Amino acid sequence: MVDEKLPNDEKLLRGVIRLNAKVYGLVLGIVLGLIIFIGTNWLLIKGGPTTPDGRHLVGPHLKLLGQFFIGYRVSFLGSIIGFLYGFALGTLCGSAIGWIYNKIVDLRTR
Amino acid sequence: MQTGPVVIIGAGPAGLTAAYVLSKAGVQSIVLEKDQTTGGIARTVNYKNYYFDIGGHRFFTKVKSVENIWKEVLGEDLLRRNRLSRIYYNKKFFYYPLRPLNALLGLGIWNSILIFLSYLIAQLFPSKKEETFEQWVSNRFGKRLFKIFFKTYTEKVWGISCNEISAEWAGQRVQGLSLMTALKNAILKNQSRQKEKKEVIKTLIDEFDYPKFGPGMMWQAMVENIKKNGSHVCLGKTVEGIRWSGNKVEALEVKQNGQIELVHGKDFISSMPIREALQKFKPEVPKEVLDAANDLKYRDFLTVALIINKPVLFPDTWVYIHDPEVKVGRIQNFKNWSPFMVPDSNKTCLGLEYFCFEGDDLWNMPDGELIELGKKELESLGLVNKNDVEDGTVVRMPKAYPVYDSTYRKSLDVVRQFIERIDNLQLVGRNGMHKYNNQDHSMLTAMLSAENILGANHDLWAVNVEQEYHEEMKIEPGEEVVLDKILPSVFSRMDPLGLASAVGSVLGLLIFFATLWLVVKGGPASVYLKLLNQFFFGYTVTVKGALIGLAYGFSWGFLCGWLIAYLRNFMIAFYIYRIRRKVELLTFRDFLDHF
Repeated sequence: MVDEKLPNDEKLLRGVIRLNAKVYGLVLGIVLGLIIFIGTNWLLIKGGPTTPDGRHLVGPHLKLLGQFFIGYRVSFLGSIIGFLYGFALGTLCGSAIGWIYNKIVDLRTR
Repeated sequence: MQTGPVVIIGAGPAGLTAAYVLSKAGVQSIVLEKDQTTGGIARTVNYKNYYFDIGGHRFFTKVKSVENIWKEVLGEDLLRRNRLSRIYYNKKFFYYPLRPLNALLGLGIWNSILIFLSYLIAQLFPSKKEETFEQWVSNRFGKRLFKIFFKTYTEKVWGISCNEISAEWAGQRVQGLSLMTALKNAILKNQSRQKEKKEVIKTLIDEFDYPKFGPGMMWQAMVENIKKNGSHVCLGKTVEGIRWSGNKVEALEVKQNGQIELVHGKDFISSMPIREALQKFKPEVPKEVLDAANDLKYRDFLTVALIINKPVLFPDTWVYIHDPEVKVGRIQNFKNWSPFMVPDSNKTCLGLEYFCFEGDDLWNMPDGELIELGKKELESLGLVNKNDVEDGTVVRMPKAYPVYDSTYRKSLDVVRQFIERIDNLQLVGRNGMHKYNNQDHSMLTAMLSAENILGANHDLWAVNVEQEYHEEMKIEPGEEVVLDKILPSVFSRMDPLGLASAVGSVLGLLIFFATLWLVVKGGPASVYLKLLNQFFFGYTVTVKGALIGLAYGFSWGFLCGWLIAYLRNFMIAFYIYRIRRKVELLTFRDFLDHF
């Protein structure tokens, strides 16, 4: 992660941290997936207003995620689908951040 | 005289330890001591069955191997004693380390406020240069506290202005302790159980081991062990010459009762003051080496031991006397070190310690006058009525402390470079290495020198405080390797530009592709995504809007990423700064003990 050629104290003081892209991706994926999963189920438990024709309107805005995450709905099954999409997107973004960061640091420390 | 494979100069803690370790390994040695007693600077004197030390020597160490030797040699004759050592200033006692309430009550509110302000100024505007002791201490404690509690005492000890004392002496332990070790210390200590932590801290501060009749008991027991294994400890033998050739010491010229004889050996260990040792080389060492050796200075010491006709005087084991009105620097109460040090429980034996230079007025003062001076100063301090003093004696100890002035480092390096050429000579101990070692470190250097003779390859000059921390934390080698790898990864700084660019890129691209997706697919989400133009002026759910969104996303992501990296680096730097300061203060806590 840090330039291995430096002695220990030098590594601490002069070294620049590298990011583990896989770990970052995994973490962001899990976090985003959980946000969507918990958010969806929270709305389901909380419920929503009843429309004049007697239907429960739950998560009218969150449901728009279905525009991006095909198959996503504000339901339990949807929360699982949302988790998977969130996980995938989060992993992709986190890994990308890690990868781009490492490339820039490598360029600057060359 | 019998020749041995190992010849050891000096029967102080270092010399005797080397002989002891060698004798246990079956290697015979000859120890040559110029005085008629063993123990060197750490000896115990017996005056009419009143035992007193030359400067109190606690048996406290974080080095396990040294502790094992103590227990091995003395066993149950090592007592566990409570430590109390306060500063006596302005006729009041102050706890050391300073306790806020005690200091406040003792110094008065106005003085305390001024000290606090001075401390704040030092934290906010520290001196950029830290070359002198005064600068080093003032930067950490403030100028006012330095003047009250450190300046007078330190100048008493060294006999020179604090501006002339190298900062390295004050920071020796800190400089020797690497940042990595401090971090490992902090992390591992945080993981240990609260109770264990408290026990360790309590032990470190408040208690120490001490032989019943003083350190002399240890050295005598060691001598018996050494002799039992066939080695020799010879007293009253002065090394007058060190014969050398090429890269070897060949023999020592040893004088006793006016007669000189040659002592040959295969290996030599010297604990004699390094300046003296280099002066005795025959043929002479190169001029620049001799000049460097002659540049090394020492502080000398005398103790005025007084027998007082009082059972109890004060509860302290020793007291630092910071008053500039008196010459005495420190007062030992040997009865509090061990009740066995005093034959009559209705009396007390105090050791008044005076720091001086050999040949100065104090040193040359007749013993009777020194005893009178001691009595007078005790009375002026308000500690003892001089009519209660029954008897007294004086012991002078030359070269008690190596002086770290501004030139010593350079001179010592020259001397070391020369000595390193000599294959069969090792320097050990405080004066042997001109290094401000405690007793345990001196013994450790000797142990390692003995191991080197037995085949090891230790660098004695590398023995420093790191050893203590390693011992204290009991870090397994495997753990240490892992920590060495992990810590830089965790504590190194993050590149703000790198993270800013990465987060900006990803956020910008997310907005770009999300916008394009809706442009292509359409749907009710477009209405909501369009709301982004409340924050991103000009943004629309169109291709042009996707590019605008990319730019805004990149900008905001860049800012957020930069801020995250900056805050992370700041917090890590602050954490490291606190660890460093804590270590400095911890090692400085026993600063006054280094006299």
